Formats: sequence, C-alpha cells, structure tokens
Amino acid sequence: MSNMTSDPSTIERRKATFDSLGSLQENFVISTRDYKLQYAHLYYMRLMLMRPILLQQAIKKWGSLDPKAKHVDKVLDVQQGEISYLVGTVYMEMKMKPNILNDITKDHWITAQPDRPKYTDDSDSVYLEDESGRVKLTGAKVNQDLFVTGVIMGVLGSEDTNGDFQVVDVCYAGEGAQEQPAPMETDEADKYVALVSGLGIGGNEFKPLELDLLAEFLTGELGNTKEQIDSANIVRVVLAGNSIVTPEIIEDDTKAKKYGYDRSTYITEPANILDRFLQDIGSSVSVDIMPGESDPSSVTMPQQPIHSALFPSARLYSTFQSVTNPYWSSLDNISLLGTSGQTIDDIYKYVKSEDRLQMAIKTLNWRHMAPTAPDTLWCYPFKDRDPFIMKETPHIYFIGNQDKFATELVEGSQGQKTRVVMLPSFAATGTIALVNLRTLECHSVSFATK
Amino acid sequence: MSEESHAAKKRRMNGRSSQLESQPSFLDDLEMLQETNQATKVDDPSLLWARPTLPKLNPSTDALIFQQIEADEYMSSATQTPVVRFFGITETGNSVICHVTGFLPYFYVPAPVGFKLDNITAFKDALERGIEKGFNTIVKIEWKLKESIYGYHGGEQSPFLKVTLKDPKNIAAAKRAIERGFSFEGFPDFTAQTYESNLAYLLRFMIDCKVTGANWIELPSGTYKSREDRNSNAQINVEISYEKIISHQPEGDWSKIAPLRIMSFDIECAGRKGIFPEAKIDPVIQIATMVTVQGESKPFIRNVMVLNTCSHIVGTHTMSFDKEEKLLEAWSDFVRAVDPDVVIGYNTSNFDFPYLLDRARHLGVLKFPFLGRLNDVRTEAKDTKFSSKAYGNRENKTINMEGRLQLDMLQVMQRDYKLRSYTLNSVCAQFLGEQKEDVHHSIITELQNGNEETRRRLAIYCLKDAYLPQRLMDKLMCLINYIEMARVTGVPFNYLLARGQQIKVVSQLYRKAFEKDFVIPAVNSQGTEDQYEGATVIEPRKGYYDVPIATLDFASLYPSIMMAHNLCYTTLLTGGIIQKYNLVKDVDYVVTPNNDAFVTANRRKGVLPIILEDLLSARKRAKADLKKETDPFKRAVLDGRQLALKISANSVYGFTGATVGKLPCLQISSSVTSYGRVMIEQTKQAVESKYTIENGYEHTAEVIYGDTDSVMVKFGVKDLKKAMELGREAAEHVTKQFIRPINLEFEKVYYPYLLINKKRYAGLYWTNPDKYDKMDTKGIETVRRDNCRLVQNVIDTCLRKILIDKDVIGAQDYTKQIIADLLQNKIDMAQLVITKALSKTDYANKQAHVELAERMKIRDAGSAPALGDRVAYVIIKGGKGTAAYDKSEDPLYVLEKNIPIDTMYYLDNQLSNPLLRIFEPILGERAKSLLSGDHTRTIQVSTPSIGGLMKFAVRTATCLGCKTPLKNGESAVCVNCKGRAPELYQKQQTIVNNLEVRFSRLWTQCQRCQGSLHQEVLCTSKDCPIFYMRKKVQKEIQDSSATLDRFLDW
Repeated sequence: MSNMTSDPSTIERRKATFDSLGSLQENFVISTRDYKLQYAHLYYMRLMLMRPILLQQAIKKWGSLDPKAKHVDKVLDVQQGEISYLVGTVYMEMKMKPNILNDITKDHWITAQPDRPKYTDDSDSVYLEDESGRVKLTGAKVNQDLFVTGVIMGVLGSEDTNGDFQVVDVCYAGEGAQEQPAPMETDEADKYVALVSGLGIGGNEFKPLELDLLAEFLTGELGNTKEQIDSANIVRVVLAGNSIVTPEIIEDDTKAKKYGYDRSTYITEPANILDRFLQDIGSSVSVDIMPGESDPSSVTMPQQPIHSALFPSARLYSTFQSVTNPYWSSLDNISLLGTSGQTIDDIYKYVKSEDRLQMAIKTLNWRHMAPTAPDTLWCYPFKDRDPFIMKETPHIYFIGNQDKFATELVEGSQGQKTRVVMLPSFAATGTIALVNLRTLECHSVSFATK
Repeated sequence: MSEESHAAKKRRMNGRSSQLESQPSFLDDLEMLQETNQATKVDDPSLLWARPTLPKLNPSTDALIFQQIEADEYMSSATQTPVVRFFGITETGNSVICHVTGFLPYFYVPAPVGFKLDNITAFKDALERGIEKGFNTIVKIEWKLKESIYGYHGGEQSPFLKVTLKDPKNIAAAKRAIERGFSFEGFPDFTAQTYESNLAYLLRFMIDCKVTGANWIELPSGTYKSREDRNSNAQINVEISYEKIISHQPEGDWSKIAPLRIMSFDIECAGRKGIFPEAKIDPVIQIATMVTVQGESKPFIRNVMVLNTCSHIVGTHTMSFDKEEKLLEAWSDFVRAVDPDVVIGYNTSNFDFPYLLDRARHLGVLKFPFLGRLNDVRTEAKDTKFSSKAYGNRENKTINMEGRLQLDMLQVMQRDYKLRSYTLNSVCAQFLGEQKEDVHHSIITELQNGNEETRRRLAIYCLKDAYLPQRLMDKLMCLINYIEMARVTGVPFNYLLARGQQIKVVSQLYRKAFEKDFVIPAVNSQGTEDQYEGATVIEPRKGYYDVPIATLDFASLYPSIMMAHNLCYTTLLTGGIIQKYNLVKDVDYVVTPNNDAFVTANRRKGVLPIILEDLLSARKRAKADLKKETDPFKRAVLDGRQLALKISANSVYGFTGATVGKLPCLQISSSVTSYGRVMIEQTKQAVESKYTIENGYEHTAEVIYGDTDSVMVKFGVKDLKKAMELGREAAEHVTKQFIRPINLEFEKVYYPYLLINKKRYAGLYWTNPDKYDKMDTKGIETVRRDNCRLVQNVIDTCLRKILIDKDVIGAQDYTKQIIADLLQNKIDMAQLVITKALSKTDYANKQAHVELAERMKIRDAGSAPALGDRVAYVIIKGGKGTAAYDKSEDPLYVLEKNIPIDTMYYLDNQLSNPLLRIFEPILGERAKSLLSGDHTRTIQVSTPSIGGLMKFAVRTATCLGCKTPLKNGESAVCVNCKGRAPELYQKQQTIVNNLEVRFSRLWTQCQRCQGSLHQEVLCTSKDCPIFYMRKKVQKEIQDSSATLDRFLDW
C-alpha cells in the first residue's frame, strides 16, 4: 500500500442518489409487536390484496377461451365437469415438513432428527385454498410445475369425479409495475453497487486475510490507479446477511456444571471485527448491513436491523445503515430488493429442483418474495399487511448466502427488467458481485486466497 | 389377591405411543374415502342406504344360512311358550330374523330318598301350588339319573327330577318354592336345593342347542317356513322348531364373519355457555354418520345432517334441515334404512343416544325412538349398574336396539386398556398417533350460529368424530376380538360388554356339564369375605443389576396347575367318600398343600381340566394357524381368537375363587394358589442348589425375586448368550420336577435390571442376544393420572438412560437438570398440568379440581368447566397454610397473570418419590442428594400481576445485568453494567428468537392440523401437548420482546 501515497491526484468516490423507498421498505419494520395474532390474517391479507391482480391475469389469459371458462368465486363452489377457473392460496401437503408434535414427543428421549435438506416426498399433494375451504389439484400440469405453500395462483380446469380439481393451466400474478430508470448521462463512467453476503466472521470458514482484501478493495486501497478508479465507482455496498457467525457453545465437561445463565459463553470478538470492518469501509463508501440467519438479530421474517449499538465505531458514520432483511432501496432511481437468502432456501426445500436461480426468478413471477412464510419460513404474524408482496418489480433483485454465484437478466411481460443475482457466501467462496447501475450488467469479483 | 384381576389383566401400554405421523387434515381423509368409492357413485347417495336386494328364497328347496349376532326371547301369544329370536346376517348381507320355537325351560331337583315314579303327579301338583300364579305352568316332570358336579361321589349317578316349565319367568318361583319347602303325599316336609335353576333361558337354549355367540346357523331346506311379521323390517323372517336348526361350530370355514354393517356416529349439540347440554333446552344441531361393511377398509356411507344450511363437503352427503324435528326424524329413518348390525361411537351409550332420545321426546318426534330391528319396540335408555371385581363399579345407561350390536368404544377402552385419559383425543393420540382438533363446546354454538361456512367447519369435526371410533375399532380389532370371545366362551355378544368375567365361565361349565351328564347346583352366593392366601412373592433383593437376569415363567400357571393336579368340582373329595370307597392316598387321590383332597385323573378326569385343555389346545391350534396364515383379515380373526382363549383359560381359576359367584369352591382356588407358592419355592431351591460353584458352574446362581408365576435368576454370568443358555437349561431341569402340563419356560433376560420392590421393576428385555426387544417396566407409576406429565417423562427418560444407555451418571445429571429447570420455571406448563374429571360437585372432602371449577365459575361462567368436563389445573404458590386444594389454578389463568407455580410442590409431591424409588436401589442413601444441592439453588419465580402484595408494589425497572433499580435515562442496564450491554442484549435476543421460532412452529402446526390457512385456529384440546405451549409462548414472547425493546440504546 505504500505506493498509494505517492499518487498525487485524489480519486473522488462517486455518489448516487439514495432513496429508502419508504412505502415499500417501511412495511418490513415492525414497531409494535402483538403476538395474540394468528397467521390466518396474513394469509387472508395476501389473498385479498392479490386476488384482483390474479383475476385480471386470469381473464387476460383465459377470458377468450371457447367454450367459455366460468369464474368460480369460492373454491368450494366448483361444479363437477364444468370448465372454470379459481383463484386461491397454494397449500402443499408434505409429510416431511418439520413437525413440532414429533419433536416434542421425541424431545424427552430421542434427539430430533436433523433437518432434511428437502421436504419432498412422493406422497406430496397440492391444494388450492381460499376462505371457504380447499380443493386438491391434480393433473399433469401439477406434476410439472413448481409449487410452494403461500403462492396466490389461478387455475383453469374442472372438478373430476373424485372431487379433485383437474388443472389444465395455471396463472400467476406476474411481475409488478416498474418505473423506467431515468436515462443516465453517458459521458460519465458507470456506477456500481457492490453486493456481498456471508462474511461469516467467527465461523469455521472465516479467513481474515480475505476480509482485509475486501475492505481494501471497497475502500480503494487495492491495486493500481485503474483499479482504484474502479473502486471509486462503487457507490454503495450492501452486506446481505450472515456477517457474523455465533460459534456453537461446546460444553466443557471438565468444568463444574452451572445451573442457570452462564455469562462466560458470550463471545464479543466477531462483533468487534465486523465493527472495525464496517468502520473501515464506512469511512469511504455508503454501506447497508442486512441481518441474516446467523446474525445477532431476530430470526423471524422480516428480520429487523441488527442493533446499531453492536457497532459502536461504525455507527458514528453517516454512511452506515443497519437495515432489515428483506430490504428495499433505490440508487439513482434503480430499485434494489434483496434478501439474505432464507426465502429461497425455504422454497428450495419444497421442490426437487436444485436450480436456485430459477426459484428466485419464479418469485418475481409470483409477485411474492417469501410465499412460504409463515408455513415453513418463520414469520411475524402480520395483521393488516403482507410486506412480502412485490408491489413493484425491482431492477436489481439479489439473494444472499447461496451456494454459488449465478445471475440472469429477466424481462417481464411489460418490459420490466430485473437483474437477478444469486450471491454466494463470501466466507466460502471469497466472491462478491458488482452490478452496473446503468446497464444492470453484473459480474463477480473474487478475493479467494487459494 | 383379587381373584379376577388375573383374567382381566389389562393390556398395559408399553412404551410410548406409535410415533405421531404428519397428519393430513381430515378433509383429505374424506376425499381419500371417496376415491375408492367411485364404482358406487350415484347421484342420490341415499340410494346406497338399503341392504343388497334379497336373492329369491324358497323354504322348501333352499337352505338358509346366516350368522346370528344377537338373540332374545319372547313369549308367543298363541302358544304361551317362549320363542328364541335370532337376529342375523347372511353371507350376502341380507338381514334375517329367525324365530325358534318349542324349546322349554327346565331345571333339576334331586329326588328325595324313597321317591318313586308314582310320586311325580303329587309332587307336580304340590309344586304348581307352590309357584304363585303358576297354574298349569309345569309341562312335565321326568325322572333322570344325573350326578351333581360338586364333589366326587364315587362316579355314581343319582336320581333327579327334571322339571320342565312353560314360562321361563316361573323358574325362579319354582326354585323358591322348593327351597322354602312344601309337603306332598308321603313327603311331609320336602325341601331341596335346585340344580341349574339360575341359568337364563336364552343361555340354556344356546347351551342345549350348541349355539355359541355369533356363530353360523343353518336351517336346512324344508325345515322352516317364512313368516310375515308386521313388527320387523328384516329381509328374511322365518320360523323353525329348535330340533331342526344346525349350529355350526366356529371352526374352519365357519369361523368367517358375515358382511356386518357397522355404523359409527357422533352428534353435536348447541350448548349454552358454561352449562353441559341439557336435552330439554339445547338443540341437536348435527349428526354425522359413517357406515362400513365389516372387512372393508372404508365406509361406503358418509353423511352429515345439519340444522340449517351447510356448504358442500367433499366426499360427503350433506343434508340440511330447517327444523330440528325433521333432522331427528330423518336420522332415525336413515338408521332404519341402513339397518346397521353394529352401532359404534364414542360415549354413545351415556351421551349421544340418551340425548337423542330425550330430545326427540321433548320435541315430540314420535317416530324417533324405534331404532332397533323391531318396529314395535321403543328404544329407551335405562340406568344399569355394573359391578365386577375386575372392572370395578360402573354406572351406565343401556340402550336397547333389538338386533343390533352395540360397541361404545369408550367403554371398550375403559375395559381393556389402562390409560391416562380416556378422551377421544388422547385415545386417538395413543393408538392412531394423531392429535384431534378439539373445539370447545362454547364455540360450537357460535359456529352453528354463523353461516354455512362455519357450519361446514363444524360438520367436518363432527364427521371426524364419527369416523374415529371406526378407525379405533379397526386398529384395535375390537369387533373381531369380541366376536371370537363370544364364540369361544359361548355367550351372546352383548353379554361381553354388559357383564363380567363369570358368565363366560358359567357358559363353558354348563356346556361341559351338559355333555357329561353333570348337573350344577344353583348356589345362593353368600358373599362371604373369606379371604384365602394368594400367590407368593419371593422377597426381592432390591438393587441395580448390571448382569443378565434370566426370567423363568410358568406358562399359564394356574390353568396348568388345575390340569396337572386334576383340580375340579367333580374331583373334590370329602372325608366320608375316602373311607367309603377305600381310596388310597397318592394313588386314587392327592392332598394339596392346602390340605384339600382331589381324586386323580385315572379315577375321574375333572371337568375344569377338560375345559382348560380344550381352551389351551384350541389356543395352540389358533397360534399354529396364525403362523401359517397370510391373509391379514384372517390373521386378525385368529389372533383375536387365541387371545380370547387365553383370557378364558385364566378366568376359570378366578371363577372358583369368586365368593360372590355362581359356584365358588375355595378348595379349588386355595389349592391352586398353594401349589403355585410351593412351586415357586421349589423352583428357587432347584435352581440355587444346582447352579453353584461347587457343582462346577462359574458362579453360584441366586434367585433375586419371584412373583406368582415367575422367578428372576442371577446366574452371575456377564454374557447374554450364556445367561440365555443357562436359563433355558434351568427351565428344562426344573420342569422335570413337576407334573405335566406344568411347564417352566425360559422366556427372556433382563439386562440391565432395576429391581425396586415387590411388583416394581424395570429392565431391558431381551429374547435374542443381538438386540433387545423393548424396555419393560412394572408398577412404576407413569400412567397414574394425578401425576403430571413431567413425572412420566422424567421417569421414562431416567429409566432409558439407566437401562438402555447404561448411563447412571447421565440419568443423575439429567434429573438434576430437570429439577434445576423446574425450579427456574423453565419447564413447559403442559408438563405440569394435572387433569381430573369433574364428575360431581359434592365430594365429601374438598378437592383441588372441584374448588377450581367453583372459582372459575365465579370468574367467568362461560368458560368454566361443566359437570363431566375434565378440569386441568396446576398447583400455584399460596400463602403459608393455604390448603392444597386452594392452590389449584387454571393453567391459562396462570399464564395470563404470571402466577408463580409452586415448583416445590412438584418437586416434593410429584417428582421426589418416584425418583427416589428408582434411584435408591442404585445409589442407596445418596439418592437423596438428587433432590438437594447446587442445582436447586437457583430459583426463578415469575412476578404475578395480581393478588397479594402486588397491590402495594410499584414496578421499577431494574438493570438487566445486576438487578439494580435503574436511574432516569437508563432503559436497560445501569452504569456499571454498560460494558456488558452487548452480551446482555444478545442473551435477550436469543431468548426472543427461541420463542419466535416456537411461536411460528406451534401456530403453523395448528393450522396444518385444522386443515386451513385462512381460518383462525379454534382448537382448545387440553390433551394436545401443544395447547399450553402455544398459549405460553404468546405470553412469553410478548414479555420478552418488550424487555428486548428496552435496549433501544445503551
């Protein structure tokens, strides 16, 4: 780094207009909590809010069929043999879903079985449900497509003699509206947002050297002038979860057993390292930190911001922001939506496929980023809203802590463009992603040391 | 020892219930049921109701074969003689009523000395006078040579008078007259004991005609005639004379079961808040019914009748009625149309049927109470008291439905299984591995008064409750087992639930006596409290054995003693007889250790030994067939049969010892037990004298315990295989010392073995040296209901750790941890709940659950438990001197108000004794250290929001680190603890997170169980392990997240 100082010219960090997208983002913030509520409200709201959209889509898709397909208001009112379409919430009946009843009864003796990587089983079945009841869906279409609990869906078909609904076609809400980004001035160099997930500080895979390299890269202390200029084009860094890993407490048999709370098990070091790292980069670029599964934050979706008091140094910078997961924001009118990965991890368990990128793309089409909440994805029992509905289609949609880097530019039916980015864990791969805010192009940068 | 307890040994539930499987909602079940029924799908489901059409039957050319399932008797108005009426089903599923005429009741009187044939007329006249209103009732009196079954009389028969009467009702009067005594020509003061005069007419008929319970009857062509009866709607109605019927013994092909129609149903009533439904006020709003053909896996009729509208339910025939009267009428019409052979349900005898009948009477639905096969017999609910040593006293209602069998699954459960709770919910969790959604009765009315969707929801519960008894019955094979029991013992099916063990032995004894020309005296039982010495127990050498303990069992001990020593009524000797016939001891007769004498089998083989031999050899056959059989349905029949045979064999001994019985004979029963005692001692001696180091064995064997029919031997070897070999060898060696069929068997090895006390032990059970079969426990109170679940779980886990993991230290650590958790208030409330049924309110002593119910009524009459409900409570901390019954509190109230639990009560009164019992044999005096020490020092008590001092308390926020009251401007921690803030924050965050996950998992599970995402969970099943957790987590998470919020800044 000694050559840094020898360069006489100063490279200016680029700036972008930041907008916190209040109307979307605020939905993730839970200010007062009420746990007297049940989950039925959330499903109900979801259905209420999305049904009109689905109906529009259904009419568009099936309205001109001949013979005419009839719309049936309530799932239970379907008449046998009549071609009709319905709208409702998908429910997946899967016997491999974790069952707390089993765990409780086992708890006293047999240790709970480790979570299965997938819930899928040959006996799984798909249902469509609304306020009136549920009906089983059958047909080839049902076996091909990918279904998870909680998606609002329209189906076309007819009731067979078993009382099942034989599905011919399905429709989803489709991508939400998207604002056209204001054209950028082309003579300027492109700006980038850096997406990082899974620093994993304190975990087994954590490599301090790579973290240092990353910090130097983001702050522009790495490489030659050219690279430093590139770094300066990064207008914002988003850390998408799992920055800290709280190590598992290993019981020490040699020590006398303590009954009650043992304060000696608390380890402060990872939080301190993260604080210093955030302070480092925060001194030069704006940074948002989202909580993830392993971070010291709430576990249910949406995860609330990590308490900023855990970052006594970084919090002093105005560039530093502790945010929710999922997280909406916008840079130069390019909207960003990201999650720390749990949403897709949970969908992954419902389907046989391994292609996580496709699952993420699917959520855009469903217009819902976390349909499996609350069925299998832990979630706060919202009463009057469903914050996971994607009212808008983001320009950049990133999923943190995935197995590998993958990306695709997805185009919606109304020309919506979305850059979908599957971010791998930094601790495991040493990889981050940079997305061009003008072209939405995306590439990865690796800091792997071996 | 209770004489009958043997026979009625309950099949105790071993280990835990089958694992809870993931449960698809009941709607899916309904749908599945429908799928298989497509072939019979019709537009109008009521077309399925009727029985199959009747093939043409010509009495002169066709034989009629049917399985009779019930029988009764009536007096023919034409002949004034009794007629037996069989209700039955043909193989094609057609219903039959068969009137059997001509069989007349009779009994015997010993002819007095000097009585001649000529005296009969005078005797007859005198007897007829003695029977009040008995004019012309004696049909005939015959001279017969018979022998009394009671005692050995040198094999000589003596003259008896067989008195045949017209009317069975007059038998008792005749008996009384003879016992009272009267005079007739030449016999001025005649009196005698009567024989066979206390046998019911129906049973008399069945015995003489060799008809057993639920067997097949054949009426050959040309022997019977059709009958047109107005009073029944059976498809076939015939009449035959009793000599003509052919009764097929239930063997081979005749062991089949007809396609019986089984109806399972459930009703819902709209009760008022806090009041148990009363038929005079609260309407019946839904009746769900399922009808299944025996042997088929799914019901072919599924319907629900609903007052008011109801949305469509998949796979179900939903019928709406605007008036309750119409609903009731339609249901009774439905029952008559479907004409079920078996009616089942859960608590139908004591609730559903009486309620329906009362309600119908109240509403004036005149057609309703005719639910049997006879149109002119009104169905009524009558109170009966049933008392049996084996089953205890029960007050029940019986519902008469002529021609239909009834199996109230609640009664079956109470009879055959010992459970913690008999609610449908917990029974299903136990046997079907399912939790049932339970809707509190206060919500039922709300659902009914809602709209067609809420009524639909209710209908689904109702349907589920109607289907569960059927599934339970199938799973436990009750119907098959009961039918087999009826066949083996020869009693009518309906006797099995309504009567005790004795009647089964009576039936067999009479059958055998009939064959052998014995007559049985009608003993007026005295009900003496004569107790005789029971089985022996070898004083246990308590302790924890970490070596294999071989268990040697006498197979069917009491039956085999009776057979080996020929113990019977017919072989019992009195002193005079021995001299009279010059009998030689040990050749002609033996003297039992109880000093009673019985003749040996070469003099005369006893009747009881013959009955037992028949039973046991039939059991052997059934078991052999069972091994060969592959068809699961036939296997079920055979298994039911062998079980019935075993139980029957065991009940014979009890019968002879029942002082309040039909024919008690304490000489037999005392001799049996005395032999048993001697044999156990002898076995101990034989084993301990043979297996010694002096005799060249590695170790000297030691009998550490023995009880009734088994001894536990410590051979000293460490190796399982070796212990098994020695056990087998020892069993053979000892068996040689006894008379056949007494057989000492080596059955299993316990390793390790924890011997706590008499009849209290636990061990790992091995029959094969490679893998243990199970963990076996005896007498360790884990099922007692006034224990909370925690006790059961802790004891269970400790035993598993000790026996399976052989980790005594681990068990101690676990126990300490649980005690620590308990004292720190970390145990889930559901574990601490104690439940008791509120059966009556006027207990002599104050009882915790009754007091609580009273208090709850004052608080809110609507949610308070009504009579008949189960009251769930926990014990809370009370002031000094508060009576225990005042410390009970509603768990929900406790959660809400943060009332501190009396954890010491749970430690001292619930956990401590059972724990000490299992640890004392291992640790001795040190066991007490489990209950005190470090782990009991941290105590956490929740701060109540009501009562006591709280009125005066001012809430002050304290530092989360050191509990110092906080100053202004400090929200979470004090100045001194500021450095620990991140740590304390994280600690609190972890607590909240764990609660959040619990919250999510619990409530989503309930959504899955109820089968709906969009509707709120209403279930209030207190038996469900989730219920209190769910409530508790709501409360705790609210509090904990509030605490977390105090860390706004630090």
